Amino acid sequence: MDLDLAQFHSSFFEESFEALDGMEAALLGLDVGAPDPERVNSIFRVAHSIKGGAGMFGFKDVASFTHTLETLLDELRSGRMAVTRDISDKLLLSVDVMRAMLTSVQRKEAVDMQKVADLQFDLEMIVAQGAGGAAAPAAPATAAATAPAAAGNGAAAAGANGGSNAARWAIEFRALPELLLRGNDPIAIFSSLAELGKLTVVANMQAVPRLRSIDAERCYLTWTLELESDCARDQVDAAFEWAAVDCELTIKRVEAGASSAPAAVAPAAVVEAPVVAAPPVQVAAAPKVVEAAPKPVEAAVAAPAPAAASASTAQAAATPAAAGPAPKPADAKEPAKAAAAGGEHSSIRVSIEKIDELINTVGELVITQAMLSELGRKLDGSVAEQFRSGLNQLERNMRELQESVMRVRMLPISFTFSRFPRMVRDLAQRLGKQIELKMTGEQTELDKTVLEKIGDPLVHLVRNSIDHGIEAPDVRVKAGKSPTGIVHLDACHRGGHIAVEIRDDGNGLDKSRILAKARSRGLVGQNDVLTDEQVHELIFMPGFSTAEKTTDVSGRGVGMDVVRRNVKELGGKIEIASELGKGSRFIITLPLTLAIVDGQSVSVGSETYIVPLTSIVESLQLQPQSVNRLSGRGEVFSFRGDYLPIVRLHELFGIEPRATALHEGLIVVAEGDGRRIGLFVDELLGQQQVVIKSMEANYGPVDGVAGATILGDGSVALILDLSGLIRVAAGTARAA
Amino acid sequence: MSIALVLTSPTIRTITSLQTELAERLDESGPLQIDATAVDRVDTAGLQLLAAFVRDLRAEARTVEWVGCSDALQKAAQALGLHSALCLPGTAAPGSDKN
Repeated sequence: MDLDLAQFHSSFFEESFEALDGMEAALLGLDVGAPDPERVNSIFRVAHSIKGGAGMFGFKDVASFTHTLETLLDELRSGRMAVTRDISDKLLLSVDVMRAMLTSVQRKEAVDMQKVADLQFDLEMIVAQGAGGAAAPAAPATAAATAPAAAGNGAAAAGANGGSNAARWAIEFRALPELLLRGNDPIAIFSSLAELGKLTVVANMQAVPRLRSIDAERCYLTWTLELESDCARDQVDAAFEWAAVDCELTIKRVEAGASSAPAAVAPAAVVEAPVVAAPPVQVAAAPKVVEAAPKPVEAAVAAPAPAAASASTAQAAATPAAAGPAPKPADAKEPAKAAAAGGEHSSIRVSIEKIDELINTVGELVITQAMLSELGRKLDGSVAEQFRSGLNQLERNMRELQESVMRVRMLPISFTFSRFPRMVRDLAQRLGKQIELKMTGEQTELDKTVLEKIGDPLVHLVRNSIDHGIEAPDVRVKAGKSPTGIVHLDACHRGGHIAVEIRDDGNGLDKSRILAKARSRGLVGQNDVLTDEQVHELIFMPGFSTAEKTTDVSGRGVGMDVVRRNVKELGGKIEIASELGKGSRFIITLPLTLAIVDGQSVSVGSETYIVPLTSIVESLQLQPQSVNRLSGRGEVFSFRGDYLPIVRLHELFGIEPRATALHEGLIVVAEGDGRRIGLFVDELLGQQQVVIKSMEANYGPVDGVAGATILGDGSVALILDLSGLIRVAAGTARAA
Repeated sequence: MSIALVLTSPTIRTITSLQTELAERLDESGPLQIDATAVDRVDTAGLQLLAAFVRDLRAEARTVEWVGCSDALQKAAQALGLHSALCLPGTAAPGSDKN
């Protein structure tokens, strides 16, 4: 019987996590005092359906907890109890607890029953007190009886109720070579871990070479950490969030009461660290190692290592984002609908690979169609006319098909925005600030890949706004502002791009402080005068922070450089506007998709190159007298008060050009990385959308080239990457 | 009489020059004094290099004495579990890393 049901587990978890997302959104929109009945109903239905599923599959802890939750929600739904701030907080906490429980059950790990029992007790107390004095005295007894009972239910929870000792997390941390260069510093990571509980750090120096042969920017040290804390796995993961791709990490939970190896070896000599390799499994007193990981799992914070006793790893690894904030294809705007279980959805799940394959095929079709059009132009006779009109029809259909297929990959930015209400609320509470979050343009759509990669940078910017930007209520009042600060997230289409703006009405960037800090660190000369833009630029330097004290929220100077790198990797840019005392604006501009680029084709000799339209400022023909030669620096020409270097594409790519005299060809003024150059080409051909074929995947990375595309006549054209091209050109100019 | 090694800001920014300086110090002989009173900023790259330096010194039976050590360095060393590897004051002997 169990076997039959097991096949439904994964869809139960998937649906439950989705429903919990919906429940969280509904809770955040719940008005204290006068809640919308439909909203309360939708929240109730989530608890109800999870309870039903959990009961059916035999997840007793989950069922027991959701039963209590359902009882409270039923009181609220019927209006017998009013929704208070405390209740809505507890309900939100319940969402977290249910997520954690479901994640544990899904991974076949022990559930943190202490937390569950505590909250369950609180919920029962609320119900008991709300139901009137008569019921109150009885409630604690019931609750007390339920809690241990619940703890005994879970198959893996047998050892979990061993007193109130904090649980331990055993962490192995091995940095990859680039970690330090990327601005991630283990000091910051460990400090934020230390805030979660008692942290023991054992460094292993074995891999550190002799001083003379050290590559000093590389991290050779490895660490074994032990954290004594009841915190959730998410909190431990969060400390490594920004370093996750640059390290090998294993995080294991060792249940309370169990003595583990690292604790015993902590005082041992750091230099002789082989003891850290002692397996934590066979220590006396039967430690409860939930995830036995024989070796570090590369960057897999969420994925459990292959455990001998557990056959569920494949399943768990397949849904690593179960508890995370990954976008879900459910409609987060309408939690009620999302909550009403799978049957009503008029959508299907399709793997991203299938869609990419489809997009690729459509890309090939576009090329074939362009080839046919080319052919059609050369045909003569009466049939040719019909052929051409057929081709025109094909071209229209083709464009529609291409757009529809691209739209499949597009998701509204609300999938990313939806995590912010909760985050802002929690952060504001923790920092004692009053913050109102405004979100507009959530329905703006962009490519899924772009969407996923922009999440972390946005989180960082919003955190920064709350921690550094918005002042404490009393400070705000003194400054004549409303005590409640506003953080505004806005997304909109701008040209062929998406602009995402994070705006706050806080204190703005303090330029004098940034400058002072930069001077004290020797980044800027004592007497240098910097423009506003240059000062803003400083905060993107790795490790730069003006925060007076480091909090676990921000201020460690880790981040803004990572934010910018992530945005740049997506082909976007980030700008800052700020006014002291009034607030700041961070504007991120992103391409709609990574698969297609609007390009201007230019010809150089017999070759065609594509210049992305977004990089082009304008095109012009030069008169010989407006060009100056600088010794050793090549040619420059005057353009709107600036002198721009001329880059002759034919020289750079080694092609025989049709025009060598500047006035015979054209100059395309283009910019990249904030710098402008004049590209000398033979002529402009036309503008078209081209499908980008990756150079890295098909050949190898080439400086100055962003990718390639296939033109209508079947020939290959390279798509120029202006930032790279400017670097290459600067290099050749210097070498010349 | 040896001249104390004065540290200011052992971070990844200045790591190459620090490495050169430390390598020169390795060529000397006798005990070495390190003055880290003025260290206001330190990172993992800096501490890793210092730890390797202290280890290499001790391997040649030379002793290290910290004549001053700023809070910033103490805290960072403790955070990284390198307090005893650096023979910082407060660790009587290597092997008693305090936390």
